[in-house]
Amino acid sequence: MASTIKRKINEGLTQVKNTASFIVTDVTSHWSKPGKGNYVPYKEILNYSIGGMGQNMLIYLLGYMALGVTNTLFASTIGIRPMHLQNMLTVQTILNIVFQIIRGKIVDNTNTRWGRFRPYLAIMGAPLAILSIVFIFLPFESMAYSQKYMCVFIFAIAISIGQPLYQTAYTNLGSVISPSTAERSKILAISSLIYSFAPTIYQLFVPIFSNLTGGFTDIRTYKYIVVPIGVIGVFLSFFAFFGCKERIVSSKHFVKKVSIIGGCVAVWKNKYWWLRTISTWFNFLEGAYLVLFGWIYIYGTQDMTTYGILQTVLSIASGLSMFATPFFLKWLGNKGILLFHNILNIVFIACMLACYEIPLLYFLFLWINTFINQLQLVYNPVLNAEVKDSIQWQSGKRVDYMLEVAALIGTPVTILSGYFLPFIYESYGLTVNYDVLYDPNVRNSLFYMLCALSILGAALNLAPYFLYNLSREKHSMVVLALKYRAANTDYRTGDITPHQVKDLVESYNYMVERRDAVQPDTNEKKAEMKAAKQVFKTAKAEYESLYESIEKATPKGQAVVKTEELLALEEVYHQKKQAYKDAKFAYKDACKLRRDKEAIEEFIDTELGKWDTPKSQVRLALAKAITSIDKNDVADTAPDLSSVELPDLAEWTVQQAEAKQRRTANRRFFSKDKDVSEYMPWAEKKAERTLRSLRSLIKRTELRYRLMQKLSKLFFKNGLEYDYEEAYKKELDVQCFTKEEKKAQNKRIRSAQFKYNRFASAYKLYIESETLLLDFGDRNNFFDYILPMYDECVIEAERIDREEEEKAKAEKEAKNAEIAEIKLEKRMRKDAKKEAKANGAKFDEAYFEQFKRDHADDYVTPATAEDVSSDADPGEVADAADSADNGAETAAKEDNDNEN
Amino acid sequence: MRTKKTACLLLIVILLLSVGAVALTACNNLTAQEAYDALKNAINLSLAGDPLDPAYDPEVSETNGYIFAYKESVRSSGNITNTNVNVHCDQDASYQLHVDEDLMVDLYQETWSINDVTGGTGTKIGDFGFIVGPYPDADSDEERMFYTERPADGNNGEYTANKLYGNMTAEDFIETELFRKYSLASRLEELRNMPFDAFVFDESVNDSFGAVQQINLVTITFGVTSEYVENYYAETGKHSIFEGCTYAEIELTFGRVSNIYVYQEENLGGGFFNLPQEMYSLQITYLGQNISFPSVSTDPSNSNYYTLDENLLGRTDLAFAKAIY
Repeated sequence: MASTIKRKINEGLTQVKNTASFIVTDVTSHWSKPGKGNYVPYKEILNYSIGGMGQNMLIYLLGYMALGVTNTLFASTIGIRPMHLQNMLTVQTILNIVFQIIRGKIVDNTNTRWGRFRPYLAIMGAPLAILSIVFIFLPFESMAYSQKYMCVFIFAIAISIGQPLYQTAYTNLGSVISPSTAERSKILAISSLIYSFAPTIYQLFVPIFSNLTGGFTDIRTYKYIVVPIGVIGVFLSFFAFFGCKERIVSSKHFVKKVSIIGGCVAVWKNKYWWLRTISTWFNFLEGAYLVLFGWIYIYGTQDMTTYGILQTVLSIASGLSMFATPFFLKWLGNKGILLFHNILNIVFIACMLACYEIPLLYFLFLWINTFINQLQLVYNPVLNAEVKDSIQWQSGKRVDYMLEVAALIGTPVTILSGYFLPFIYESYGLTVNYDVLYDPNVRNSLFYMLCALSILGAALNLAPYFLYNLSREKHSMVVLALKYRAANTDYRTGDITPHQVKDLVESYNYMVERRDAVQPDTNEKKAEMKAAKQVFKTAKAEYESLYESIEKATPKGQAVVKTEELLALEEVYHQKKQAYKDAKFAYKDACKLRRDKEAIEEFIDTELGKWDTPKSQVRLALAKAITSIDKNDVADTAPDLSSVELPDLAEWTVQQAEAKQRRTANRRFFSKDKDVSEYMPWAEKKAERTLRSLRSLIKRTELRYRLMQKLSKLFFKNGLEYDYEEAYKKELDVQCFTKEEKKAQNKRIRSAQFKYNRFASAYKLYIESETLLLDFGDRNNFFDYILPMYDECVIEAERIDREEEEKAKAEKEAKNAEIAEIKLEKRMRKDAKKEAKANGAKFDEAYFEQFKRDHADDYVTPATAEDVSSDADPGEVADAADSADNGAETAAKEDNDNEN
Repeated sequence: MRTKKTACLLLIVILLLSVGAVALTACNNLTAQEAYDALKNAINLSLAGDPLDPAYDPEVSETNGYIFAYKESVRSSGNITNTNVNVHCDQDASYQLHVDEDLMVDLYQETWSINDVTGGTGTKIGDFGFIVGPYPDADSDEERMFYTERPADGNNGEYTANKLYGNMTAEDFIETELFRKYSLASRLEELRNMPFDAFVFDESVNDSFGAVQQINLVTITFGVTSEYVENYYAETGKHSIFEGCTYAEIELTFGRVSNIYVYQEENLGGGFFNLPQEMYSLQITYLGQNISFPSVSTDPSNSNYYTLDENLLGRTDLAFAKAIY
């Protein structure tokens, strides 16, 4: 046993050593030149990471220039009233809507020889830092309140205008640093690991050093501790500017334009987006407790050393949470994790409220709550992606960048709600003089109130999620529907791949299997499960009772002898346990089947039947009428759209009534057996509404057509000269090798982009109509062509997989050989130097070349090393080379000895 | 689903209504007499813990008035004087104050000259400060008083540091005539004696006049009659803090005085910006920041060298003698 553990430990250590050796060799050998198949050398990754440290440090300084009632510089130190800070924040929020659009336009039109994003890292950092420094060094001690107010307003607004350009430049640089997705992920992982050192260090030391400057309520802390951090940050961020390159500008990344209004409308029509957005509107209340931790240490214990250490410990919670999120997501599901997070928030904030007088206990609950809160850092992007899929299924538009714009609809709510906390602060005496927080009576009253508001906010945050029902089953059906659409289009364009066919058909078959499966009665299954549980409990009790009686009768120190009766009971106990497990599984499976069926009906049946709806029929008729006119004739010719006939909705009305009856019957609760005729009035009303909306659709399309005519006349007086989209894509793909070429290309890209945007805006209706007709034409591609291709595609996909596997293996072996060769070369050089020294000869390249020729047989070549361990990992290859080196070293030593 | 939806919406509406109700019902206007009474009560409660004050009432409060910290800023035609006073005591783990343990006093005053009354930047004329209390030295259990003074040389603006220390307890220091000039009672004295007629609460004079209660905060905005200012000078020989004021604002928190601001309408440039300027501000809290002693050296060449002066308070050439009150 001991020898096995020892052997395993040794194996583990060897593996760690080999991996470390491989990493070191890989990094040193590809320091300035990227490895095979990569684009970015390690030196550039380090530059990017150091730049990230710098960006992080400057953002730390700029964080103290952000308007908000919890800002210790503006509020506690300078003494600006919370309500006044909120007023300024309101102005900033409104201005930001305009500046966000301007910034977007500026970045979109930036095409310099340094790239699109890098220039902002260089030109924005210093001005932002200078503005902050000038502000912090203003003579506040001799200023009146109104002067302080004006200074805070001017500087904070000026910084908020420029800061996003600087802040997003670094993140965006990460997304264009390499064209390879895998390499990009690797770079982001490495850099985040390196630059996260910066916050870890300053979060620990700033509070400790602030003891020397009077704490966070003294301006000297900002002057002499925070400012230097920001200044160092400016210099470090130049590493990312000078040491990195932008590498992606090609048509592969070209995304068709989605208009702002069209995109927003698509987002606003989605229920799940609304539920998630409404929930975030209550964050202002839930986050009320966040200031308390700082207040306990700044105003309560006034122990900044402990504060610094605890802040560092708190940051660990975020890291751990990120690792744990995937498990929670798998265990609880989408809705489950949302409810779990918000319910636990309520519980832990209540715990904090109960023990705020014991700082360390308070910190413990804060730590757990932070851990729970940080789950959203990972699950939010996951759920957002699912919501985006749902929006795409619903609207046909991919709205990756539109969610934030659509969220602006909540701006009035956030502005108004932002006034609530300052109102509470002021009502509890926290007006201009934050020193009142030193007084425990004031602080404790505010603590109670803010904790209570946080609990209320968490409850409000939780409420919308009870309606959130985008389950995993539903999302997988949304994805299947999107794959089905994509495959229909890809088949037409010839872009469909064997893997795509294999994956889609297999998903489709699974869906058909679930749809056709007989739905068991879940109530019955539940009753069976409960009965099985009861039986299991009885059997368990009987078994345990007999066991205990035998155990009592058995003298101490002797093992319990199992009688026949006990053995029989034990067997029964195990049987019942298994029966209970089976019943539980059957119940869960029945529930999942019901959810699957609901999801299939909601998404797949709707997708397959979407062309038969009255709306689709009218849209197709309109599209046919519009595209019957040539694009160049649009300006002068108009189709008679008002003559498009409305469909007869009699049959559709009956179908709607039947569907409603079916849905009601499927509900677990409140289901009543009703006849179809009882749903007819409801269906007839729906038919009336549909007819009204169809008439409105025709009218809207007529108006849009007239607008298209005007725009085409305005922008394309001489008609369309060429395909603007293709021309734009072509320009993006041009390779440039010199600065002049790049400059000229940037100019051409801007011009082509401008023309394409103008075309897309003017002919929007026409393009939409063409797309609709193409989709309609493709609707049966899956059933007619793709489904029959399955067997053939499976074989083809397996062949491609095999080839790729072999290719990857060959690449890996080549890389191992390359590294082994480098190591061998290093070892030979070392030995040659030793030999030269021993012989009293001068070591130079000629000597080394001669040494290599003389000892060619003594060193195992990398090819041999590869042969030795054809399937070995890089570490093993390096080891083989090492042992070869050792052999050579011994040989060289023997040679030397002989010579001596 | 519908039932669930209704239940969720109902929950959100109830919770939001409760938040809204708290916000709306929390505000109510006070009459002039109510505001005046609230102010007088607040002054009494603020000073109820000061054994040397007539309002002393240990049953109401054991600490108010005795333990306090304030920041005062006074603008005059050429100067701005900032005074920070902190009478501090220990608190235990459950934040209970212990007045009898480790009582300390920190008094600091600095004066800046400014170009005009609206000017923000200026030069420091000088400062002085006292720190009194049990000295944290393992070798002694002495109560020490540290004094520093840095008056600027009028001609070239250079500071001459004067650093002294002597032996005195904080309790004794609080009872000196010197400290009485900086006590909380001295700062609230004028307000305490102001008659009802001196206040102008009439909204027709100024829109912002009046008093509003907002949960634990009462904000009183008022003007002062010119007769009062004149009478005050005639009776006491001192200038009223309200002299020349356009309006004043007093904040009472948890029934005690917390902030006093006196404003004057000032022209900031070309008649376009007319902003109210603070002529006087007093910000009070009933426990201030922890007080730490300066580092002290016995080596005369060290910049932290303090000279022992047993008769420190008996001297008349110290900066406190120049205090404005």
